[in-house]
Amino acid sequence: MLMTIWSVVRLIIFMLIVPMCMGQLFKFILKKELRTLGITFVLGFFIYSGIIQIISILCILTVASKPNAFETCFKGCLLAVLLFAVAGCFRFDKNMLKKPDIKSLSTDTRIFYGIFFALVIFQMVMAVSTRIFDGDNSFYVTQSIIAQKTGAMYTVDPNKGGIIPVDGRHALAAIPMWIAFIAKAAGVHSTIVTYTVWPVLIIPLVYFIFHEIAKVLFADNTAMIPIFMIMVNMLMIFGNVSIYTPATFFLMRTWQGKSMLTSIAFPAILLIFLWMFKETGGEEKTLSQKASFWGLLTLVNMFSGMCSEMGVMFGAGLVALLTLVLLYSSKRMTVLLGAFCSVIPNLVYVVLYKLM
Amino acid sequence: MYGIFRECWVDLKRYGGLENGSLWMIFWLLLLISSIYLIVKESDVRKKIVFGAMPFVVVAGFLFPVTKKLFVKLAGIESANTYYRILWIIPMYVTIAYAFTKFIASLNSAVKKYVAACVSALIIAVTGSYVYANEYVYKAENIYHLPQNVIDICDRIKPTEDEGTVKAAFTPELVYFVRQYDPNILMPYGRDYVDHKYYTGVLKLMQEEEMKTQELLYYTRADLDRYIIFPTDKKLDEDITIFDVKLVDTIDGYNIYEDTLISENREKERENYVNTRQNMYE
Repeated sequence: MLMTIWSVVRLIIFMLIVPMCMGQLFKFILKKELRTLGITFVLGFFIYSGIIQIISILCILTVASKPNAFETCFKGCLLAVLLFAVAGCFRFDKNMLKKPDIKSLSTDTRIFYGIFFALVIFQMVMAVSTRIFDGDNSFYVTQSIIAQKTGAMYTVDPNKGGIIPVDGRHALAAIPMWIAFIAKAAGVHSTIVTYTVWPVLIIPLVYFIFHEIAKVLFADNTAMIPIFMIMVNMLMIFGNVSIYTPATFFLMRTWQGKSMLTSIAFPAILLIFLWMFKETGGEEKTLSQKASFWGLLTLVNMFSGMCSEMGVMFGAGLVALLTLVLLYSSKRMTVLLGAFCSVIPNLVYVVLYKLM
Repeated sequence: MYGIFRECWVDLKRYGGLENGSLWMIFWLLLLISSIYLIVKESDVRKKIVFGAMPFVVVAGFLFPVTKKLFVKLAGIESANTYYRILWIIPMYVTIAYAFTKFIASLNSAVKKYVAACVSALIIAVTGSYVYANEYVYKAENIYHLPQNVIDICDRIKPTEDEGTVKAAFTPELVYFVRQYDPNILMPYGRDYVDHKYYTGVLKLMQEEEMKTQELLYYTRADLDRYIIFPTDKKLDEDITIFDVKLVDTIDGYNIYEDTLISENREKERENYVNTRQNMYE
């Protein structure tokens, strides 16, 4: 019993507290009005993924062929993660913890928010209480448990067992290593983390990003935000029109990189551009203010690459399309420079894919 | 080029749910109506472009044969079936939800707004497909979210620390889950063989209505599989237990057989069994 409680505590540390503390450490890159508890957590989430990604890829490139390669990767990740998280603790802004002002909301808005939260909780409960079959899980989930239990990083065939050469296409999408890291740090079986714990973090995180999008879209009519969120929830819950839709991936394959690409990375890219659209016009911004969004976008692009090989290409494609709109509205050629810098992780990934 | 366009068109229909008959059109119609509504009603030109025009641009680009050719060239022919993922960059849910909500906001009385919100949610529910009604959604039996019988079987055959690993031939429907639970259990074939119809002798036999016992043992012994697991009602042409194989347990309708030539390390007998049948089965 005590062991279980200790594992739950460690899960909370490595899935909630660590990203929050990392966000606190790096929140200086955010504009002041964006330094909320939620956005700071999202920032920390992307930095956390970036750290795991860099160390994982370095290990795959250097020590993957050695026995217990994941042990080396785990130690490196643990050291870096704890270092950043502990440093972030000291920069924790307690003002962020103030309660949201519910009293100022009308009764209708509160009811709509209630429905929205109920729908999110419903999906979280369903994620925990249902088992969803997908053949790809035999690959991704097994990679995590192989890393955790045997120490191999993509050098063991997940289907049959036995040694295989590293397959760059899958190895560079390091989400299974992130899950294995959390599982090992918490002392919980990777499969439990993947299916039962991970969705409990990801589902609210996804809706938080959509909620931030709603805040930009309905900045002058905030009463509409919960209605928008109910619509998004409904589209997700009833979005299983085919096996290809983002909703199907989001709720039926929450733990897979492809799912997080379409439900976290792409909405986050859209959100950052919506923030930048809002910023165009008005007084001239300083370089650090301009760089803030591009820096955040770079982190999201790193995350896209970590999610899936396709994320490298499609993430850059989405950034390109939205940059054209930004260029049109801001009439500033410097946005091209910002966009180029933000897709550098994508370019690095392309080089790595070519090398492996 | 026309052939590639037709392929893309079918992909577009399948994305919208071609398997559900003509409902695929409704899915795209929702997006089309939402985008047109936003082009007309949205005052902010940037949002007009992103939610109004961008979906059209992406869909047009998707249907354009050169895009698919380029995609296949960049991603490789093995990724051609993932071409539909280009459609993911359309902010589909935001566009539809934004259009619906914007319409609701435009109504002048509170009652109309509530009715419109309910009707909108209803339209989404009726035209969509409830994710938890999918045939692949089951009630979780345990915290691993794996079938309980697989866990019980794996616990029964799992190797000791000294043994390290153990090899077991499972019936095809179970191979998806075994190594998600215990990666120290190795198998002669996995999910890739079942889904992609790769050939291997054990799988071929496991999929037959009646298995040839000696042939099955030839393959499992050649692969050093200590355990063989298949349903209790699976037919065998000969009793497997007369070939130095013992039934060690029956769990939830699956028999677990242990090959004593392998568990007792009777290597010469195993080699002899395999060698004498090699010409027959290879």
